[in-house]
Amino acid sequence: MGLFDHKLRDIHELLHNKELTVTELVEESYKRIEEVDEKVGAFLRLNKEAALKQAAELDDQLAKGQIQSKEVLFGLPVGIKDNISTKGLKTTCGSQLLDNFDPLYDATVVEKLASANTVTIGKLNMDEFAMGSSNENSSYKQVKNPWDLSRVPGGSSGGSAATVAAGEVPFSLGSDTGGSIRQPAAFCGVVGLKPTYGRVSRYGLVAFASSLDQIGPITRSVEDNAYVLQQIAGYDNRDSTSADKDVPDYLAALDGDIKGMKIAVPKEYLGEGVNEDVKNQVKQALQHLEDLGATWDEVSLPHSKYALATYYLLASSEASANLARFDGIRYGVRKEQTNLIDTYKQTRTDGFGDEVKRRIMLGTFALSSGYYDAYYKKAQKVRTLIKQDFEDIFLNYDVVIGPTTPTTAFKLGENLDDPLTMYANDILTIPVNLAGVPAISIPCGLADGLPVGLQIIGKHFDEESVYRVAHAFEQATDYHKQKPEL
Amino acid sequence: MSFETVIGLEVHVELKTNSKIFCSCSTEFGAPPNTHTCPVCLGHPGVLPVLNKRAVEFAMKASMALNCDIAEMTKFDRKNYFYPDNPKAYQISQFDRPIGENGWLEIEVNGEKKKIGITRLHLEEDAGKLTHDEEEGHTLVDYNRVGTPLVEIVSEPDIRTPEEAYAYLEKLKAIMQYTEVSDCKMEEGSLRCDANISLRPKGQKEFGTKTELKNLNSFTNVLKGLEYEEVRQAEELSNGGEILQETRRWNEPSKKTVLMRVKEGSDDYRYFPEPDLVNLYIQEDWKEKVRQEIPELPDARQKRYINKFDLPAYDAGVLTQQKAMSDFFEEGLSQGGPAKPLSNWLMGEVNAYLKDKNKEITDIPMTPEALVNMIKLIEKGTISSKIAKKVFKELIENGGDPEKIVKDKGLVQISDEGEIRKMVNETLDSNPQSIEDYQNGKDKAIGFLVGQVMKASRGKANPQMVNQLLVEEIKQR
Amino acid sequence: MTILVCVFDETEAFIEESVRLKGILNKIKVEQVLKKKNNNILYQIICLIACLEHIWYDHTIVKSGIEQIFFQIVEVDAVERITKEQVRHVAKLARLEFKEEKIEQLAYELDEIISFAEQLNELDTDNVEPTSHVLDVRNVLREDEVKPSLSREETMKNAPDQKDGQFKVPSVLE
Repeated sequence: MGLFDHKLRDIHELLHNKELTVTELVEESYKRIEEVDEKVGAFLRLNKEAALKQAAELDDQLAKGQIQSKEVLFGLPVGIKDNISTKGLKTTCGSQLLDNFDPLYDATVVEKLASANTVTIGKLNMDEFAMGSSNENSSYKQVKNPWDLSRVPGGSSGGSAATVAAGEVPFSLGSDTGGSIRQPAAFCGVVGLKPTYGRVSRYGLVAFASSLDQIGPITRSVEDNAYVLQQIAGYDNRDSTSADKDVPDYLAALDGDIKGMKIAVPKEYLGEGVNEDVKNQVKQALQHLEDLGATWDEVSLPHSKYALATYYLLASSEASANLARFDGIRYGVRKEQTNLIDTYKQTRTDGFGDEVKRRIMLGTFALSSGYYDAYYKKAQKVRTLIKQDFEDIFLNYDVVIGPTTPTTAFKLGENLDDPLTMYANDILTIPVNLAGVPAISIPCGLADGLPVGLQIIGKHFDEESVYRVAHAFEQATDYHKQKPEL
Repeated sequence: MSFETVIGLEVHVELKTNSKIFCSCSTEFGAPPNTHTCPVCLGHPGVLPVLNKRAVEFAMKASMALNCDIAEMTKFDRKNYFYPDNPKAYQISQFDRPIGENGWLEIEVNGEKKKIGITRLHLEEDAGKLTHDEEEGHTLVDYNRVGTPLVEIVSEPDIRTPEEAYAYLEKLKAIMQYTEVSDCKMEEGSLRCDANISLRPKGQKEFGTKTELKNLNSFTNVLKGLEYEEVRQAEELSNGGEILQETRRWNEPSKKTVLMRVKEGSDDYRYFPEPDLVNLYIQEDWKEKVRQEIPELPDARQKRYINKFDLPAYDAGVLTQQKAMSDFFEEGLSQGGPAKPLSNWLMGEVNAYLKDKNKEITDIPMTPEALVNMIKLIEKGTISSKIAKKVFKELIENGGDPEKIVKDKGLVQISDEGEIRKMVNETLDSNPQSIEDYQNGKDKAIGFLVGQVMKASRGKANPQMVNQLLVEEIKQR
Repeated sequence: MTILVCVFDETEAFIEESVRLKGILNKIKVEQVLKKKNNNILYQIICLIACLEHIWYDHTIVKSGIEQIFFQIVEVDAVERITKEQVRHVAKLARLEFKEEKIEQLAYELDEIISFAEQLNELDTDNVEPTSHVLDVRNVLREDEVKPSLSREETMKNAPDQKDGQFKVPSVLE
């Protein structure tokens, strides 16, 4: 059993009882990376020198006094997705255009982790600017699925999910715009949460689609996940869209009691296009939950089938503006030409990969004069309907459950040529972002040796119910203990 | 053919908040390049804007002072375009829900009053400053100004002459200064104006094709640019030519407008709602609170000056055109100054001096109190109005206390009857011809004699007494 | 060359494919088809539109699996919603540049995505408010306080080119 197969609280106990030092923990992380990351490709950049220095300082603190039992994250190694700003540690978003970019500030989540004395191990690989579902759009290297190196880890937080699955770090941060935490968590057999929009500050998250993006934790267990969310959640006066609401005690929700909870299972989530093996695992999971005292009904989220089109119009439009600042004037890799307009064009044409350019083109088109009402505004209206679908269901149910993805991890290169098929991968995760509700993906068994993800969706700001159900399921099963051989 | 001119103005006014609209950097003018910058205003990856409350309140205030309806719900939008002075490659502006709409202001040209409609007033962020080095073929960018809050005020095409445009700008500037939302210093770029102008045959309803004038860096240039364009377009049309929809630049050295670019359709700015900023709801109580802070505006002041102090409308208009001038007058009144003489001094000597020296009233060392005290000295007869001009010169150039100046320079008026009578007799003794002329009915001669006595007293003799004693003494002869 | 094969029967696929057609063919006409759901009229309209839009059509009736297929239309160089000219225009707006063959590919891909997106037209959204913010958070404002800026050194740290403490770019004047 690897060190990082332990729960965060158990690792904390080892530190607390002086059976382990922070330096040993951090060295363990780098040792594992050295062993397996050549195969997995999760890390773009390591922070080794600074991490070991910090570890030594934390060990000094430990030696002088004991850490408080509530400081569970003290000294724990963490990997950060490369679209989260880290001062003094390059942040490229998986793009050549930002190859040399050295941020001037820490994202709010990075500050919050720092205040809990976590140790940043390095920056994690991702699809360029978080656009992709397979990590094949990283402009640096491919992340591979630790369960089967010929398969994709999912995306865009492929590095964040794969590194936790591979036991390189005990937890990581990812970001989720249309499923970018949950889909790779499902493919890699780990726990990934997309919090309610506004629950975690976006300040310092390099924006893809501002009205959909959220940062969230990827961990080995539900309990670990709750510890991390507890630390990073909360209002931030630097993010106008963050919610000025108290953060509840998420750990308190993990009592295993789900008796009488009402679960909605949308028929659209188990319909055509969802692999039979995946369906079976989800049905089994529902049986487990029923055994634990919950009840479930089949319901309908009638606008689900419009989510994909809605998402691609909205996300691409916002992205076309968000990525316009990457022009090589103030930072980034400039491809200087004799005049300004050619400099812009060359910088952006060389700097962005194909998928990013495709989406910028789509978004620019959808916003352009004469098309705005037909595409962008129409999509915003359909977004309202999709959000209402969830509101209606949540009048009568505590959580919505379905598979996270229609299939298990697919082969590298399999969907590369066809954007629409690739986009269809996110069909079950996208409605959640459009509605702004929280959702978790947890392992619910294997199909042909590959992990299947169970998605549990909650009401706005009701991460507690999501965690409660996820934890109860996890306690009742052994799926989360399955891990890949590397 | 005779044409009617149609003009619409777009004015950008920088709001004088302490910090920028979306971050906490200072808005102070004139700092070394790129020292009032942070990740937010530099558009670094991952940053988010947070709206400055005072900027919103200033925009509300300006809207109210321009008689606009204030939006119950207003929001921000992204205006997308690439340019090095625009760090995010989108400007956060307002598209379909501006803070203020449907306002107006009143202008007066050649004694005629006219309302000019204001289509909208919206809030947005300013861009950075570019310096071009044409020889070296590069441009330098300073981002200090990026994110300074701006309001854009768009007029209806109600303006019919360049003079009206000038009057509109003067009034708009006055209102912005009275409400204290902006300095409106054109030389620092805190007020900028673009003008749209078109001509149409008299009687025609449809507008003609308009051109847009840019680089109008003073009100005078707006006037000159529009006058030039009016003539150019009229000539073009009269010769059977066509006006193209184009952007033209005022070229000061040649006193001409020159073509910048022909507009190809409308620019495609791909506006969409700014997802990083939430909607703003302006409720009655907030509006009321802001409304309370609006001081008396120029039109109201002008009326008060006319009604309460019996000033001529023209004088009241000039006095209230600039807030600083009007405030000077108000301060003078509160120091017990008599309204009419105070107004006369400001309208006359003070304005002439400012114009001559190209200064603002805030630039001079003379205080309202000092001017009032000087006027009081005249009224008391301590100094003559002629002497007063000397005192005034000293005051406006170097400041100080008029009584002390009068004393130090020995400028006190001679009102001692014996002393004056002595001077009168001396003058009469040496001017027998004038006495004779006077006695023969030439009244003018007395003026000459007064002048002689004043000269002898070096201007200090009380002129009324001189006059009176001269008449007495001649009678005795 | 763009080839579009439309397949429909009277069930769900009928509606879906009719809607797919909506973007390419005239919107109102297809709506009429949906209302009447009459295959004869549909046939006629398809023929008509096909002629108008220079679509070559083949109305062989084919049995395939459980679905009865009424028409197979092969559209040759049909009305593209996204032309190469548009792709060039959009690329210009986005400050991107593509080689000729890439433009053709993008026109095709964007066309495909946009056709897919046009399924949203099935929904009547006349009385639906657009959502631009998923939470109803209002009036987030900060006080007008100045806080320290970055040092100039930090501001210029990532500058690709600079001169005298300013960012240097190729001339904006042409």
